[in-house]
Amino acid sequence: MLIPVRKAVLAHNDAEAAQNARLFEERHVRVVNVMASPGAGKTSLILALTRRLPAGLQPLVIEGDVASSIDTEKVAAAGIPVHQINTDGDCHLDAGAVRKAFEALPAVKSHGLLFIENIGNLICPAEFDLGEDLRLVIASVPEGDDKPRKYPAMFALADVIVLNKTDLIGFVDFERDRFLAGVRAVNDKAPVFDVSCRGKASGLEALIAWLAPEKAEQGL
Amino acid sequence: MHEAAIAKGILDAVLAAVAAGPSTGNGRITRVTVVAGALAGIVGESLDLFWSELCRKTAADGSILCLKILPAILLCRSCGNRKEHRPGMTVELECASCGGPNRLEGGRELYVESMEVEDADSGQKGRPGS
Repeated sequence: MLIPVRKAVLAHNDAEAAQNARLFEERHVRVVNVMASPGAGKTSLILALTRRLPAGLQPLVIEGDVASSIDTEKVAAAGIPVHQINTDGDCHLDAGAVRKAFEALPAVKSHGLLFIENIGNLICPAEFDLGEDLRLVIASVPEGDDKPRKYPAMFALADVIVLNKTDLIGFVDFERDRFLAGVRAVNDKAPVFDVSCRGKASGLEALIAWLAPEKAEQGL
Repeated sequence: MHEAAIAKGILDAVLAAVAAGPSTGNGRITRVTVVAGALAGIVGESLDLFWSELCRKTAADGSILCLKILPAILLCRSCGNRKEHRPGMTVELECASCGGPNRLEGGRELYVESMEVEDADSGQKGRPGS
């Protein structure tokens, strides 16, 4: 007997993500899901952005890693409320784990900006909605300019794309125009921000203004 | 390795459908068909492995998982030329027909399409002496 089912495979996670989205809104927290390959600079970018947030916009961080609390220790050392999720092998964060981690963080006084650092890979995290407001995907210059074409699903779903480690352009084989052409082949909407987080950092203020426009304008 | 979570989602969906449906035969699931877009990133062999393990001692024990891959589409923004894009294919930046810029569309589907369940009396069929 053939029985039609027609149900989303990730319906359970999608429902949990919808609950998260309502919770984040109630608590006045905007949420950015940060996804990239290992070593692309997720933690560095999060730290660099949190140092530059307008006053009145309180940073929060959830760190996702298969193992270790190395990144959490870095974030905590910067004085930012952070909670670690270890997936013990799973290659992605899911909405249920994110809600537990969020509940473990302190409440914000007014408005918050929560960065969720997803597990470092360009495949699995793309499938799992966390209830975030924005999906930020990082590509870094040393990875090469072909990543959008090699991992189209990840770049296709991005709301914003950050090209990190731009201080290394000229030192490694990377053609920015080719990278942008790859991005536009899979995603014709997401803005691309060129960023460097080291030394004389660049591009971070423009990215913050895009992530939290009303706060940046008010200079709160 | 997100196939473990995918397999769990499929199993939850079909077990819920068996539990909910009044006309679901004897409740033993023999085949499940899942539709996945080319960009869903599902590895069939990996999914099969998790599926057979997860199904043990459930109504889907021993069932066959049939994965139907739907292609994404490379659409030329200049001439509208359409080309199917399947898993593993290169995202061509330029249209093969006019050289215009391509855009990749679709390919994100991921749902359980249907399942086959044994008829109510099939458990009795072929059993000697029954």
